[in-house]
Amino acid sequence: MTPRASDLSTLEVARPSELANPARLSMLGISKRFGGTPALDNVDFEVAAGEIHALVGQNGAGKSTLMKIVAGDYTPDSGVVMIDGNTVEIRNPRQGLDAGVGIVYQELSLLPNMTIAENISLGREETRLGVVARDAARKMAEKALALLGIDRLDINTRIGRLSLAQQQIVEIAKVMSYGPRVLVLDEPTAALSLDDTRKLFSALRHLRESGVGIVFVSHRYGEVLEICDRCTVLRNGKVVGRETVAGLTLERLVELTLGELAHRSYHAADPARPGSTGAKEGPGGTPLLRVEHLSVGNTVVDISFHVDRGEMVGLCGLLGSGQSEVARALYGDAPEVRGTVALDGQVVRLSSPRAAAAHGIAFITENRRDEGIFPDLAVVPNVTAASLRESWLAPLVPLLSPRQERARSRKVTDQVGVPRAVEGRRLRLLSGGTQQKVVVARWLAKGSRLLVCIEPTRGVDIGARADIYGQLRDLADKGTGIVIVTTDIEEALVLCDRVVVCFAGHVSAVVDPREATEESLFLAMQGLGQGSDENGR
Amino acid sequence: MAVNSPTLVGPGAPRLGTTTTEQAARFGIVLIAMVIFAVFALTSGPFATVSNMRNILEQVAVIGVVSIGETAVMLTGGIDLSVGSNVLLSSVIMANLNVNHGWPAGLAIVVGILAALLVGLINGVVSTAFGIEPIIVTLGTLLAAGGLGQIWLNNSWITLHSSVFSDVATVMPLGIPLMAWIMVVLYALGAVLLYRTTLGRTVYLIGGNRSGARLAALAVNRRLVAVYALSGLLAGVAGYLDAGQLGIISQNDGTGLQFSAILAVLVGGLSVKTGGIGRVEKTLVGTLIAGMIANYFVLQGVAEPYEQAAIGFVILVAVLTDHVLRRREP
Repeated sequence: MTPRASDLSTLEVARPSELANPARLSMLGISKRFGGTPALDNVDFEVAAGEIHALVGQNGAGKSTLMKIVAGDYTPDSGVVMIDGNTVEIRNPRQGLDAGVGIVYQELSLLPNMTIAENISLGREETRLGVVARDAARKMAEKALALLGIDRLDINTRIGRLSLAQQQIVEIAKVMSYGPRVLVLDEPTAALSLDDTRKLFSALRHLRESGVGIVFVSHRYGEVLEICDRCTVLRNGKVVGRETVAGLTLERLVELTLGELAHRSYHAADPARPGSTGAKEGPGGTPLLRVEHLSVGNTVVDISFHVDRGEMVGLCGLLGSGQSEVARALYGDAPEVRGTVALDGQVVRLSSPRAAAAHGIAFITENRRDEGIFPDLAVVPNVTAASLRESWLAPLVPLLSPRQERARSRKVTDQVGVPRAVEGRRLRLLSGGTQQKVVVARWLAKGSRLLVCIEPTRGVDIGARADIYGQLRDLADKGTGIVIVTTDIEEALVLCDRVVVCFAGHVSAVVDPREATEESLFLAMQGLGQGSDENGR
Repeated sequence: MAVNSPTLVGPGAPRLGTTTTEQAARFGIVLIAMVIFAVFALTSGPFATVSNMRNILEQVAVIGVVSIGETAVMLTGGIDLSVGSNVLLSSVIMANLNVNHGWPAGLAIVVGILAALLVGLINGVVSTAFGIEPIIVTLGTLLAAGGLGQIWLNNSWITLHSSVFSDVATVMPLGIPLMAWIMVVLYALGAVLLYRTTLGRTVYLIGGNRSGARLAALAVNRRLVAVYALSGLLAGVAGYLDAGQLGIISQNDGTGLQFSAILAVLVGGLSVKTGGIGRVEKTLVGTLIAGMIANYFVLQGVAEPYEQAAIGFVILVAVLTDHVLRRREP
């Protein structure tokens, strides 16, 4: 043990005796501000050799900032980073790797058309007379996979043929082949099924034996309790808990995460809230939208819920719990959909976005840049894209009238608050918030019975966020049903009339925001809901 | 840059650019064309004569018409390589039906144009229905249509006699050959189509963001089929102009025309990288630049290989200049 590690004893938290291993990673007194806002405030974080250490906290608590400092993406304003007791300065990801920090991101970096061995040795191929030495690559791959206890995987298999869990394991092996002292896993199970998660965990347990310190960043507290040895909880850029996982309960973990927010509920004190005033059933008690036994591939299993006219229903869940797939299925943009969807009591077939739109469904994607906007076109054509026919010179004259088009665009952009001064600008040049308002305006211009949106305020500044909330509320008050997929608890509770919580592809609870607290919703998202299932199951 | 400065690309730009770089980007290619014209006029006596201008217009009409369709296709992010063969195929069909089978010229022309339209439809349907890259599909139809044309020519040539063909080159309203008028009218129609119709707007939307267009509930595949069909249709019209201009159909007609068309589109500044950026009137300018250069070298008595090399060189310079002007845009 190096003398520096004794600094750690100054921490208030007692080191658990069974983890008296040397510290692989020590971050001491880390602070980082962005502009005036502190993202991290004097954070101490330590990972011992041979442990899996969870780093948890809500979005914005500082987890990713902390990990970006380890990775070398950010430089801290103050504080020390030590690997194996030696102070290191990490200025870029390459230096991070050299210093002994390996990071596995959610987005895998593997090349699907190359083999496992080729992927692992990529960029470090030994050559003999200019030809890649295959056996050297093979040895490197086998050694790395052996660390994870994997010996049955044929390293000549192409990546594209592997399951997601296997790909994840190869990615980890690839990072491990650089011999890191610390391995950071960023939400490694978000895209995995339960079964795949098991496989990944067994590999991680094996890897732990090699003495590497593993940081497990996750929102899935069940998994944290299952696989991790210790846990550090961040809230608002500060460490609020350092716990040994043995003996830790999920409730305690949620309480630490949320702090005084845990019991915050949004509507109990506000009976005059406009919400749900617009909600009404149709004639004969038929809801606007009824989804029954909906399954999508094997990510969504038998989900049922309904949406009334003028009602805002949240579909809430941790990343990868199936809620986005449900939304995509409602817009005809998901493969292998089973189950029935009825609009105003009529069963509809939503085979494509076009078919869905013809039934009066609108959709706002979470992937604004790639699917939402036309970056090189101005605001006006972006707004009118879904309702071109209505800008015709006359009903039977299929010529676009620029004047009419601009007038139609202005009507809705004024409403959502896109200034006229920018209406001729390319979308690429506008802020994320303005871009999203333009997307909202596009569907306002078209008019729809049901609006399905995924993470409608992702990458949107606070001011624009409030505007978008206001627009959605207005739409609902006029009778449009709205489905909002969100991973943001506050957003779900503030905005929605009812929250359907998804966990592992099922509905785990249906929550009434007027009664719910952040804690109860959080627990439901972890699969531990006490709310009732909509179908009384 | 001021917040309210409008942009110039694509449809929906309400006003002209207000800054010098925007003006330069908008009119850059026109300026380049004017510079080329001035240099050629000063260095070659016969270049800037009325009769030579007439020649240039006649010479660019076929490529010009084909380039309209190519512009639309490339705006969607695709490409149509089959147009060269399609010009040959349609003119062979017209000539064959008219000369060898005694069909009236008008009917033969219509059938020839419809055949070219069919090739375009095949391009569109195969590439969208099976999700095959247009470059592969149209390479296939390039070979297939070219082969068919040559088979029907039977290693020979066909001489046309009907004035319905030759009129396009000999009739000169206001002193300008009919085929040039046809080209100009088609450009005007092309502009209306691209800027003022749902189809044209959809072309820009698809080119700008295909997934986005799909999620905006646009009929992406149907529109793409229409665009490739349009390109085929225009190749058919170009086949008619080509037949009328030459009076003799032989197997080299249309060869390599696709590259001239693509060049005209690219010189006109259409963005291949992002799609959805470009304007059809700039393609016309691109066509005219290429036409002026070819004409100038003929006048100067430069041998063809030199001419080709020079065209390539001038085009690279033109594209680079335009690129540099554009890059200063935000």
